Amino acid sequence: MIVAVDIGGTFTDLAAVDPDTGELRFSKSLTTPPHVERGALDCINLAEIAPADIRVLRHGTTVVINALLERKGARTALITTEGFRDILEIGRGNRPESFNLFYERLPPMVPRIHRFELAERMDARGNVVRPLDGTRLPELVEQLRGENIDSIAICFLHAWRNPAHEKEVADYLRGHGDWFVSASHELSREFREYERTVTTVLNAYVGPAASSYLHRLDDALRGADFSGRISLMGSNGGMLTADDTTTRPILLVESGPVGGVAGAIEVGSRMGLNNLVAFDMGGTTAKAVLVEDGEAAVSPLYWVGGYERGYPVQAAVLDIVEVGAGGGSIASINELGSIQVGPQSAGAVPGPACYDRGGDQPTVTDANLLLGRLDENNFLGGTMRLRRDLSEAAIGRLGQQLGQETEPVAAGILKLATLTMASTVRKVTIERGHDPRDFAMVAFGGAGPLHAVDVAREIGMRKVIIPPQPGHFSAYGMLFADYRVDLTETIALPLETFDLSEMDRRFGELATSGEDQLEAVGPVRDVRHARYAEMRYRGQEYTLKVRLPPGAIDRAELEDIFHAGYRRRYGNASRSSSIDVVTLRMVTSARSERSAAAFAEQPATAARPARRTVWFEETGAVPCVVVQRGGWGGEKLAGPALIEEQASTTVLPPGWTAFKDEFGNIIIEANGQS
Amino acid sequence: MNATPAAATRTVDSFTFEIIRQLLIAALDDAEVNLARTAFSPFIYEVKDYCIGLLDARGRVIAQSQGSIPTFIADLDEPIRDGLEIWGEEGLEPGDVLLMNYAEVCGQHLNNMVVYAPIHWEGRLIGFAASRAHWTDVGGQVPGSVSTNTTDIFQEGLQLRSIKVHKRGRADEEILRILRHNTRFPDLTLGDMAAQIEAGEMVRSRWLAMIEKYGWETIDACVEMIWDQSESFVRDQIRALPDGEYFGDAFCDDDGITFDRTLPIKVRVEIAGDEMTIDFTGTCEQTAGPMNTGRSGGLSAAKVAFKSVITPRLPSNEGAFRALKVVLPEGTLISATNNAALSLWTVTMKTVIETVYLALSQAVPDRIPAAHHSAMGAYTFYGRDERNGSLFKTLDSVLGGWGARPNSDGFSPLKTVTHGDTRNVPIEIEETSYPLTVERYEWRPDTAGAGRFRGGLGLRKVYALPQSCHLMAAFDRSKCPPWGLFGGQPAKVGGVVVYPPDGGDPRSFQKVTGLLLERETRAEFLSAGGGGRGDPFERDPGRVLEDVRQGYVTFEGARRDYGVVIDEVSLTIDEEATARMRARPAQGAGAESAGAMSR
Repeated sequence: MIVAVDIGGTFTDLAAVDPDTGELRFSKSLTTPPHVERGALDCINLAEIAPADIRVLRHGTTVVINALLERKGARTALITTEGFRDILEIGRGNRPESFNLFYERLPPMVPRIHRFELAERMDARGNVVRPLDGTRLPELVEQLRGENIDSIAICFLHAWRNPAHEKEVADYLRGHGDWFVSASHELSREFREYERTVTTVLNAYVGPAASSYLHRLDDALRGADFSGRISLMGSNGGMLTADDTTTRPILLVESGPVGGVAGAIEVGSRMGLNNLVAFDMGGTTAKAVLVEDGEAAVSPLYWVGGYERGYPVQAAVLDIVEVGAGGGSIASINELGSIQVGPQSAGAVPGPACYDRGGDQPTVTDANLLLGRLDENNFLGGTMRLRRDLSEAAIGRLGQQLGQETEPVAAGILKLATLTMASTVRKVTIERGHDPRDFAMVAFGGAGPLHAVDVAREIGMRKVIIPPQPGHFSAYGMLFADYRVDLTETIALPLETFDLSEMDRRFGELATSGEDQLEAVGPVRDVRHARYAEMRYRGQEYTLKVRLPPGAIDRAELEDIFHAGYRRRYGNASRSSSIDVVTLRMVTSARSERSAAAFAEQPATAARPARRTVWFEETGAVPCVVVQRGGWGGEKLAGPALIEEQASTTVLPPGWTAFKDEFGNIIIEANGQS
Repeated sequence: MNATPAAATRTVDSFTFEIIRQLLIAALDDAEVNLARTAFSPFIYEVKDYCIGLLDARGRVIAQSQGSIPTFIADLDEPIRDGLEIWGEEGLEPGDVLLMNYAEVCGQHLNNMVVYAPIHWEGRLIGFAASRAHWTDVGGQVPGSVSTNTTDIFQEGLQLRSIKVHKRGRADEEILRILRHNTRFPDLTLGDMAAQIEAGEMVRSRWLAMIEKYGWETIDACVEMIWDQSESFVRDQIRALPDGEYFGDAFCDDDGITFDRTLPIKVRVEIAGDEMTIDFTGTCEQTAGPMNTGRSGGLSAAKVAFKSVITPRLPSNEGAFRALKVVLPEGTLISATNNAALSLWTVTMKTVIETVYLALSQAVPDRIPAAHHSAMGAYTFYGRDERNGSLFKTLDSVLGGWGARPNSDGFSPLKTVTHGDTRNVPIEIEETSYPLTVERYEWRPDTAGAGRFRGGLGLRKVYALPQSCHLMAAFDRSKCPPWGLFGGQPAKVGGVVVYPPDGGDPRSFQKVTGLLLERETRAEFLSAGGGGRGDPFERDPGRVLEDVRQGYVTFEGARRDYGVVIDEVSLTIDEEATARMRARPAQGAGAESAGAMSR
């Protein structure tokens, strides 16, 4: 079996496939902190899988991000070029909250007394200006031991260009202690010393915690007769190699959401769709990730703890835009006197008012119930009864404050939630220079199908896909993730004098290095390379990433690609300006072991279509057909309609039509020409 | 807290209102992202020296972008009203784009160019999309148009007073020629203008799409509601403050021409019911050198101080400032007229804003930190790169300490109060792009103002020059150091120190333009710390020890400034000696620094 386990905040989800028969299994259990491996074993038992039969266990984990946010990492030291140990604390000096007189950043992970300097210096071309004084190293080791250091980060100026000194120090330290050692060039070959230093420090900070977690998981599984391989989901959207997992644990920072995106890519590719927005909505947040040309968009800089106050990570991380709008988001009146939905959430406990677990604040789920979009008797397959009267009371109280009837208040809550969620899609499309009409939405998560079409309509998208098992999709998607290695190199050279054969040579090196890393995993198939160049008009700071076609490329072509990409993204291009080539990026990926089996069908149900009154923005409350996904033959269905299944409900508003494709996906399209 | 939802009495329901409010903010924020990404000048993408606004047909601010520097706060109204007077409603046609930096109205250095376009709907003027951004060069006596020693506006560059660069959708080639030949960097400048025009077009089309979808009546009603909501929220906040009159008093070093005459700034704040008055009467007269701002600078300083203390998170619009009255006589340092030099206006702004904080510290002590480094500390190296013969010009300003807060130490390092999301330039980028080498970048121990809570620390950054070049630097506040509050001590000040290659005596500067630096000169940029708060002898000795361990405070500093004696070998507090030290008054203590800054 190939098994995927997604350990979330509340639930642990499992999806498994037998690669020979294509048989699929799912299970769900409670997450069991701090020993989350127990929840994983529970899921394996529930799905009636013998651990000995598991060939590969795929896993998305939040252990790294949690260690960082809770500041529960190792006792870490930093070693820098002489004169620059304060770079980590100086940062960039910006104040994103520009009217906040009490602004501050999160404190550095390494205090000043644990930051050590070594005499050495490279210049910006990588020439040695001052040789490394190796005689200082024994003394340094003594100091580190004296301070009981567990983990060491090394970042020297211009190591992105020439890492020789970093290598020498890392080798020495690895040979003289049982500590975790991380050097900046092993993580990033890009300039900007603050960002690279922080990246290295965070990697060192979580290194011991990540490896002890992996050992624990491994031990627990092996104790239960598991003899397969564990693969972790990397933040870049692919599976990580074993080497990455142990030496670069920071690459696990956004491991959690990767499964859903991988699944969306697979869904799209089976349908011949390469341009997608993966939209995931759960209880507290909604997330969007763009997929272009079949590849998840990654951003070169990620912020742990948020842009406003957090830590930058200079690594390829899925470009996820997340907002605080989910099923549990609470509607309230804020201090301005304005109505507001989220980011405060009732979560699972006390939960929406209708859960009858003590929550009395009106939530998005309450609005859905009141407007007929959820069925109080058929929530989670009827396993949980919802109390409509409690929703009515909660929303009614808000209505009294606003001087409005209950129904328009419920409708307003949904409209505001839609607007907030649409902002995630707007950011990954319009703000990144894409036209949302060119993209199809793949919607999942427990609440995704309820709101997907509303969000698509708000942003101007015309096609929405609801995959099978949308509530289990994060685990399910992992079954289809590929191996992926993202490598970069800053060159920062003018295009007019840049030797293009030199570029080809460097790309060649990156490709070889990527393949070597993949081969370390084991036999891989269908190795693919995608080349990107980050370029800019001279004088600009921001670069634009453009994808380069395979094969040789000449200067004029490269120039054209940049101008065209720039015009598409920003609306204008400056033909007369000179261009710099700043960074080369290479994505190397390979097919993972997977089943060719078609997607799971919904368990067939005999339930017949029913009718109930449902509220839609265009029509108000109207009688509406309700079909069960499993009992629906897949023939064309015109909105208004609802399609219910065990853990989710798809809302089909008037003006939209749905059908089921051969893979079991619900395909929803706007009526009229597309 | 109980701002009644205006919706209750209007025709627009609270949900539609909120949706429109959010769409407006999103439209401006999106346009802002676009401008920052398409601009060519680091002033725009790096310093964020710009703003974008949507205004109504009478020039009132409906919404403004939020991510740019604070000083451009709801101040696009005056330039547009001037344009309305010149052209009249009929004279402004669809597809027109106008340029405006006329100093008598705008009151800022001429680099700050307002680019605005009228918005028409169903044949009538309904508003304006406008942006203001710092153009790299608009002519004048030095590259970049900013220097420390101009004496009138004509030395600072080209003035344009609501000149149409696009007429009915078509670019005017004659105007473009004027622009192209009055700047040293035509590609950068025209590139930035194009970015501004595009950002304005984005605001215009999003606004029209909203009108299309929701109807003009609804949108129009919502705009009034947004203003009213902001106004009533602000008035509620002011009502909660103690009524009274509060005074602040500080000064800038000099005007860049006459170095022995300081520039006093006087502030009186009056809180009465739900209104606040900020009165600058008594502030010194306008100067010959370029430290002046026009009247709009004084108004903007008042608005920045007001907003950051009263409603830091409320988006800026017309309604947000209705409860603020500003008294500003004509002809002062911050209401200069008659073609005064304005080049360093933003240096002055910091101290003016902080002087308002100083006054407000008596009214709302919990909301005001002690003074921050405030020096600006902008510097530019320029010359010809000997490796490839091309001209180069760097741009950065120092990071320094911020003032102590009511219950914690000041944060450090950050840029100044008039900077927002503005970052420093990474060393690896400086060394890759320019013929410069950085030797050290580190904390300056003992530079924080001492106090029960200390300020943030200043920094030292040392450049070594592998070839000769020129330096422009603009520092201030060396004579009126960042003050402490409630018994806290002032911080150590900064400046630039130049070490000649021949080992001759180092020279210190605050403001300097066109200084030739020979090859192998070292230039050391020192930034100030932030002021302290409360009696330093009341600081927890354990915290002083920790500061010493980390190297933020020296052993000597601990003894001198905090009365804490620490054994240099065992790194422990000598309790007895500390008690003896603390029985004496702290050196320099006893002088309440707040309000005592006047000469």
